Amino acid sequence: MAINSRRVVLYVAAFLIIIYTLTPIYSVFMIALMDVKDIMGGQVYPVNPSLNQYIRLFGYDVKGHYGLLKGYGSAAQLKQGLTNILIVSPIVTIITMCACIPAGYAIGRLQIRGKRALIGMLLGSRSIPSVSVLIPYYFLFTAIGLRGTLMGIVIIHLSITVPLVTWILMGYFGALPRTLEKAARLDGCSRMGAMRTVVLPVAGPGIAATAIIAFLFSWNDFIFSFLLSGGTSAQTYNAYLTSFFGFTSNEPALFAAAVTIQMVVALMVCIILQRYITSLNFIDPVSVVL
Amino acid sequence: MTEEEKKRITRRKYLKYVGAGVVVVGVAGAAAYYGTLPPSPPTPTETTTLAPATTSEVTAASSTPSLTPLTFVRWHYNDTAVTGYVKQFEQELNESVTEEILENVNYTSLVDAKFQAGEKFDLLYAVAGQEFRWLDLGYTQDLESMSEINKIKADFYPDILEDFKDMNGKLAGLPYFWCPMCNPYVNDAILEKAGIGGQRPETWDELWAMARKVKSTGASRYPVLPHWADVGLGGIGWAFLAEMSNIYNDIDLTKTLFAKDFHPVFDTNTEIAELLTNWQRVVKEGLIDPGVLSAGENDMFSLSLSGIHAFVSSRLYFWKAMNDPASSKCIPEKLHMVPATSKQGWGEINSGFYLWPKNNTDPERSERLMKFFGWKDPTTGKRLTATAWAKSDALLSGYSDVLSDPDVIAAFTLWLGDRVDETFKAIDSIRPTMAVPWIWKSPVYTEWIETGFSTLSAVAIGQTSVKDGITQLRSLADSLYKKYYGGS
Amino acid sequence: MVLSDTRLGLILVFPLIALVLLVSLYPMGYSLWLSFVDVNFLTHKTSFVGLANYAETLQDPFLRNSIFVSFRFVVETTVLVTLLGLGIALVINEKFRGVSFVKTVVILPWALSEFATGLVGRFILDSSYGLLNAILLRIGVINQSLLFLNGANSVEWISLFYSWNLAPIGVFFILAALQTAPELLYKQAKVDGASIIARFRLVTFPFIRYAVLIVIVLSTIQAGGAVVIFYALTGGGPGTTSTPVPLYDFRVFLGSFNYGYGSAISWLALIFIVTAVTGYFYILTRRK
Repeated sequence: MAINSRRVVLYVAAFLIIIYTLTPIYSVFMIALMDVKDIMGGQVYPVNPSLNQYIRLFGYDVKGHYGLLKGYGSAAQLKQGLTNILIVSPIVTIITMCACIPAGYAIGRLQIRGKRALIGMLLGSRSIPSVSVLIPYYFLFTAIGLRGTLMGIVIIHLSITVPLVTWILMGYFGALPRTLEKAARLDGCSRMGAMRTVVLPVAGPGIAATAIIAFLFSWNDFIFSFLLSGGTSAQTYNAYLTSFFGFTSNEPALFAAAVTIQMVVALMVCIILQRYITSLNFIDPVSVVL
Repeated sequence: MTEEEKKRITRRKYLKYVGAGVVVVGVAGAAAYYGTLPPSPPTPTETTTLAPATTSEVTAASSTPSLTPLTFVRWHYNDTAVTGYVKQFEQELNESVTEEILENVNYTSLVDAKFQAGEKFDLLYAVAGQEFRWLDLGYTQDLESMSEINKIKADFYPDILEDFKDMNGKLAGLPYFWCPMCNPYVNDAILEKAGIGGQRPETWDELWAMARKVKSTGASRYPVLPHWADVGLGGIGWAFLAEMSNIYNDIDLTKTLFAKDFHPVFDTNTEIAELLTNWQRVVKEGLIDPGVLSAGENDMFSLSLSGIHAFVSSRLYFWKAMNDPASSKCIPEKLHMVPATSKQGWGEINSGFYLWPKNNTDPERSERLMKFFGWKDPTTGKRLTATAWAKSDALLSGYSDVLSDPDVIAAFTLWLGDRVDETFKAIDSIRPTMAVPWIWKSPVYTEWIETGFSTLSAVAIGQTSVKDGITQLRSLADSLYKKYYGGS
Repeated sequence: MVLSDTRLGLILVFPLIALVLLVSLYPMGYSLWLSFVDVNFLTHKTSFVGLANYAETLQDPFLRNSIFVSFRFVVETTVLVTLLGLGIALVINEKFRGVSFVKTVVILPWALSEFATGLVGRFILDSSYGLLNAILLRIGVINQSLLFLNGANSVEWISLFYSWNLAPIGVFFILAALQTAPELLYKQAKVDGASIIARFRLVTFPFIRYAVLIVIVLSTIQAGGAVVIFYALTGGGPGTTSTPVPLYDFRVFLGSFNYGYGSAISWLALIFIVTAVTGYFYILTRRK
């Protein structure tokens, strides 16, 4: 087999891509597995690796390499935060998909008037910096009584994921072949029936992909849950991480461990469902607008 | 339609929809104006939750089911211990308390948001400077109406008591802790390498001179770690006040920064210019650890543990961690607090407060909660939190009897060894000389420093000139003074 | 009952519209109103001040500095994300052994939250325990750890990490577009003797033009509003060298409690972003 220069270039490029992508993730995990004193010189690979930091995160004292390491004082709050986000994110994902699949289908495949206005509004609502709506949301939610509640966080997340997912699904459904429904209609299905029995199964991958997008947004949200539920028991894990910036702790390892717990779930979701992302055809939303 | 025409039409349509969007938003805005949510005044409303009880409470419910629980707002610190004391309070006094623990980093803004939303709570922590601001804004009340108030005042150190009084002499809060901060600690290991082991500076100028000597001998790459974290409260803002006060012998900073009526008296040709010019100089000379200028409080603290600095201007509880071999690279026996002499004072008061909100669940019950944490346990007469924090983290108490408690002395000896006496003497020498800024008693300060700190930092690194920086700070101070006190 | 297309569509879409309107437009409108008033907490008065807040933005030196920081950040991020997205997409569009592994790996940075990305940046760039310093020291390139997050280059580093986080979206947009380009056209161009660059410009690019446009638009919008990564990586420092407009706005709101002024700033930022996006559409959809 002749050595093809093009192949060499490709393999080198692929190698570089992998290094570039994984190094930052590696650095966090590396620090999470070490003891603070080892970290302080700067290490390239984990020295004396152990799961001590994770044990401490659950609130237990553990004997480390250099002495007793105390359990993390706010372990209960962290657990609470993790529970909260484990409740909120799936709910947001499910509601988003239930609302956006029909909406995306309608806008993408059916001819309705005002389509362009809707798209403009959807895209526009995404462009506003979150900072500007934080205080109004804060007062709105406090007045309604939603501040510090999980339902409040769910609603806020929905206000972001719904426009985004609709926009993507609308292009996706629009790109599916027209013949699908025609075939079902010929067999006597109603419009709704056609959608349910024929279009949805074929659209499975795209729906899976947008579900990931919605889930990840909710899982990773920081700014809304920080301001709108900060200090209450409804605060999510991501926002609780700021407690590591506290004034008498020097715990980069503990911090890293806490960050990795949140990262791991998101990473796994991405790894498992990655192949569906490539099936999303994004071109059509653009041509709809233009 | 040709491609060209199609594109032109769609662009026009796009703009049309942007315009429509603006109109819609404008209408919504008008609706908001006439709507139900003015941002002020804070109306005392009950915050009811529509969602079912998915939120669980940190402390267990009390034995008296009909009692509305009191709310205790605080930041993270020794959470297990505090929760333990809360439970003790609940048991001893047949009470029910909910703790709301806010993130340390934005604690003040989060509490402000709660006050503005009209939430009810009964006890809260406050950092230095906030206790008077919230008093002025009408969110908290002074303690003069508390029963036994004179007994409480008698238990204080007299100079600390002054720091706790507002501009009209009323007691604003109860002591959570105090300690000297932004005062220098020395690392003799580095000084010995430079051949000046055992020497102690008596002024900031002498400190910088010694730092130059250390740097020139190569004993340390960055001889000084100043308290210049890139934050307003808890960083360069506080260090600025401390150094101004120490160098120009102005304990309440009314001569050089803000007068007794809170209007600014500094300008491009006053002492502040000299101080900031010196800051630029020492940064350029490489005398300070540059990492501190983009550090948060936590990172500044981490930097101090590296053991490479000859001088660290820090706080007592940070210094305690520097003495801990489990996490610090410093050699404990070589670390010493630099005492204050008659030449110049050191440092600034750092204190935490327990405050009494006006909008509370019940005046009598909240007063009991205040006293339990801020004064003493009525049943046993013991100062629970004051003693505990002194033992665990070297947080000093505003009550003069805590440092004579043998348990407390024993706890200090554990980490200081035979340096206990010299350290206590140093603390005593610093306490009467440290800065107690009068401006902290006005709401102007917080807003001024929360924007102004970035100017101080920018001047230090040379991003902004001294003249421009002072002009910015001065105009900010002027507009804030106008906003709160009218006129100029 | 046979529903017309439009009516069926409206029934399907109505709950969505109601939700979006309710939750998004009201705070937007409220924020617009706030930008025209002044809220004074000491006197508990809210007074209408017309365009005074907007006028103040013209005289604010902090804001001016933040605008430069934001502009620099947005440009750098958009360029990086587009180039990275394009480059990586081109590589994984080819068939070679292990390409599916690379595809799986490439999406991973996107899984991190903005906050986690900022922290990751710290863990790499920190001068006492950072990975980068450790590697450089180990190789021997330097013998004392460097301070990367100094005033001059903080924005570049933040942009690097933010682009790392955003690039996967770009990769997959462009990849999907690349896969619509027929292999046949490509082969024909090769046979006709076109160089790699010519092939790219004439054959590949027309198919991915819209995808590239979307990537540029999304990068601009995201980078323009990014605040969490600055907060987590440098806190805006040193000085104000890494304080972009949203972070400064955040401080105006929550540090100085100047709600009116803060709202004015954020509306100006929005107008700016919308203008930029409109500009992109104009430039990139013009027939060449």
